[in-house]
Amino acid sequence: MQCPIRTKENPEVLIEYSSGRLTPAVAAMFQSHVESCADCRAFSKAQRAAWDALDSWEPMPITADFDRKLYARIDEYEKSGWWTKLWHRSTWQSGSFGSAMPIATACVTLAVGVMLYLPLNNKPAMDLSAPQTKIESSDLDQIETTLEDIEMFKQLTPAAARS
Amino acid sequence: MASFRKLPLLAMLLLVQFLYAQPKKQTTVRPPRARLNAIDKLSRMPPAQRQRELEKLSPERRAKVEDRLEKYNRLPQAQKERLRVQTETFQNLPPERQEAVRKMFRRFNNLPEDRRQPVREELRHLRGMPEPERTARINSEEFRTKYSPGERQILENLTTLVPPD
Repeated sequence: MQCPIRTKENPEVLIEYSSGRLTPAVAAMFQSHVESCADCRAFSKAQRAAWDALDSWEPMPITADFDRKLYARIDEYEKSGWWTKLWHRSTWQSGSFGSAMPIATACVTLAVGVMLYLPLNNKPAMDLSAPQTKIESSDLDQIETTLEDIEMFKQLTPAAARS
Repeated sequence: MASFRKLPLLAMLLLVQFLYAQPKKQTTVRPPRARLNAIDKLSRMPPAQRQRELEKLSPERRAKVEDRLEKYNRLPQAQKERLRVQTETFQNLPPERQEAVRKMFRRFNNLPEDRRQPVREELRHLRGMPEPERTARINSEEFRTKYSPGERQILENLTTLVPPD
């Protein structure tokens, strides 16, 4: 029998032999090859170790109402709105929507930034000549100083003295 | 995909940096004409609105502003106009010169009541004189005997510093 490792033909024979799924006749033929081929023997040994490990693995016990809870959650998800579904997809799955939530969050953050920034810098300067507009504190300071200056000139250069 | 998930963090960092880098709101220094117009505007406001605006000041400053505004509004139009021109000319002077005049005025205001009127009269005379005549007057014996050293300093400084009408 030709070696499946060296010839790279029929590699499934080696795997099926390792898992014990060959017919007894083919298995007997392959067994004689394995005894004379170190590569196949090593591969087969490693495969058997893996199968043995899988055979000895015991799944964790589940609660009695596991299925009921699982189906309840599936039902809940099916009945939920599109936003919740989108959230679940972007949060728990890596797919086309996986990037939607981060991008949306980034956009919202930037929009908030722009909204906070624009009123600060684009606020038009107060037109002091426009009637009925509010007066800022800094303008009040200047009004106060100007009234003081007017008072000063009124006292230093009284009107009666000039006429 | 991992890089997309970092986008919100990046955006938030940019936002924080952006807001932190914002310049502090600066006080705008209005030109003298605009300040005078602001006084007119404040005068024209309905009393309730003016009250609201002035509430931004401390009670003491508010009382002073209200008092000065009221006095200013009671002045005849011609005097108002003259004071506006004087104030505008004065406020266009370099800030340090303005401050020197204000300082002298405060000293003038601290003079005894009976001394303010003669000093005021002398100032009016001096300001109306040509330069050589004014210098002669300031150096005269009469000037030296009539006014104290403090009064003479006030008169000399205000005559020099206050812009001509």
